[in-house]
Amino acid sequence: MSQRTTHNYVRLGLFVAVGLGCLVVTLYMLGQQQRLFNRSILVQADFRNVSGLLAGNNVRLGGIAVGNVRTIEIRNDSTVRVTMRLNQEVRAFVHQNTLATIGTDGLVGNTIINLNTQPGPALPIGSGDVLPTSTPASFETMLGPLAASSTNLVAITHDLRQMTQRLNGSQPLWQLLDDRQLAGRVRRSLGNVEAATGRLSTASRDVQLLAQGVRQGHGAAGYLLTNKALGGQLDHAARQLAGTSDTLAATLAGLRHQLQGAGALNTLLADTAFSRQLRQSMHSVELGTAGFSRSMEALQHNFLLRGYLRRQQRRQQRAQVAHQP
Amino acid sequence: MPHPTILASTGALTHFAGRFFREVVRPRYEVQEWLYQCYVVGYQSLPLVGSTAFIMGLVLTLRLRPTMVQFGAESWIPTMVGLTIIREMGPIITALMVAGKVSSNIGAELGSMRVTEQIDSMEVSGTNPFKYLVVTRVLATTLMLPVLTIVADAISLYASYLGVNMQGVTTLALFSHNILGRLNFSDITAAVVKTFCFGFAIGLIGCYKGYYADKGTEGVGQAANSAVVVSSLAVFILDLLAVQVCLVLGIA
Repeated sequence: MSQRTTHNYVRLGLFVAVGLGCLVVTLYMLGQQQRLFNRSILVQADFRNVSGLLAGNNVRLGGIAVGNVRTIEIRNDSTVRVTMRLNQEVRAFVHQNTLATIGTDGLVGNTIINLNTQPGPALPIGSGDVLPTSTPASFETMLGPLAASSTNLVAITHDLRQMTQRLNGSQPLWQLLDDRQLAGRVRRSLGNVEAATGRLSTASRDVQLLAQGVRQGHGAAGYLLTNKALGGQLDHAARQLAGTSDTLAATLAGLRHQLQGAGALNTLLADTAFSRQLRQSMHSVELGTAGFSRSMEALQHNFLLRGYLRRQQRRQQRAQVAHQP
Repeated sequence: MPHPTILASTGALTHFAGRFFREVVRPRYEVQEWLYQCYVVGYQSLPLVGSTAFIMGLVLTLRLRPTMVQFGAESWIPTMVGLTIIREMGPIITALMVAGKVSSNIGAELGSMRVTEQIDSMEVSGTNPFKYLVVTRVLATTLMLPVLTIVADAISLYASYLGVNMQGVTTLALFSHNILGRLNFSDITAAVVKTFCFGFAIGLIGCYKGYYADKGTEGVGQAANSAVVVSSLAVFILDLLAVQVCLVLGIA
């Protein structure tokens, strides 16, 4: 009985030892997880808003948990002071300019404090130091610009819709776009434009040469523009022309004077009765000449004058032969 | 004796508890008997509690898995199962099993002793039956239930680890890290304090029912039966109270 009882006690002791051992191991691991047994330093940071941070939340440096939040207290109406417990080992990596920000562990996880080391020299952190902080981009501040953007987007899409509607309704545009020969034509036009500009270039070069020649005095225009004596000659010619025209005017005045007088010329030109008499006289002369011509014809056939006329004819023929070589 | 009302029996139970606290500090400690009762309550309950805890952990993990996968929160299974077991399921399951096994045992044992007038003869012979029978048993359940719960938690978590590894690969380090990462000292403290209360209630009710058993052999059966029922109910009521107290204290 006694041996059996002892046996039972051993089993009982073993059972209790296992149970308490489990408890102790769990508590120790939990303590190690929460770094209760490590040496630590206390640092502080002032935030305007801690976004639901609780005492015991993690503090991370480069994504690694290096401590936790010890206390959170309201200092004044715009400052919340957070006291953090950091492991002694990370003291070398956390400097006085290290920035503390409030973050979240995943999308819906716990609120945490992120420590971001900043470039530039600074002293290592000491116990009781206050770290600089930056206000995290809260959801509300992110939503503000987003709302403005969406308003703009509405206006832009509205305009865009109007534009596309007008473009869709425009028949000439679609005809232009559907025209398969357009590209060829445009290409040809461009070729023509290219040739024209080539010619234009040549022409401008010619014009340039011409202008250069004119400037140097070549050709008529050059002579006109560059001959300095031409002006004097032109002046002289104009003066002579003026003198001539004066003479002509005087002559014409004399002639008019002659016409207005009772001279023969005035009678000839202005007397209509005289001209009629003259015309009748001329007619009478004509008739007299015709009668004379018939009389001469009759004389030629008269034998009295036939010998004289023959001799005169022969003399004329000889004179002609003598003139010919 | 008229049929006791609930209020009357609660008062009598409170009086019984007061007597226990009075007797437990007075000298002449029945260490030998207490250790034996510890052996009976603690060690002998271990197979039953252990197997229950193992099945509980495994089933909980396997049941939770499809839902968690649906939510894309597969990696949260260890955390959820761990917290559930350590905070609630471990203490409750252990307490219920101990209530079923030990409380009925105590009720029947003391009841038959009462009915066969062994307790009366102890009083006559000068031995304090309350100290020898009640104090040792209540103290044993009070102290053994937390240990049983811790061992049951460990077994249950191991079963959960096996369950997680049945359909995936998770190292023990990551598994324990996941659980410990979300666990606080207050969780463990509350759970352990709660099990002390459970153990005390189970032992006290079992002893009370057996100690005041009457009506012969029928009374023994009734004592055993009501010891189980009332202590199980007491465990749940205490659990509810513990949750409320934790909420008020800001632990949970």
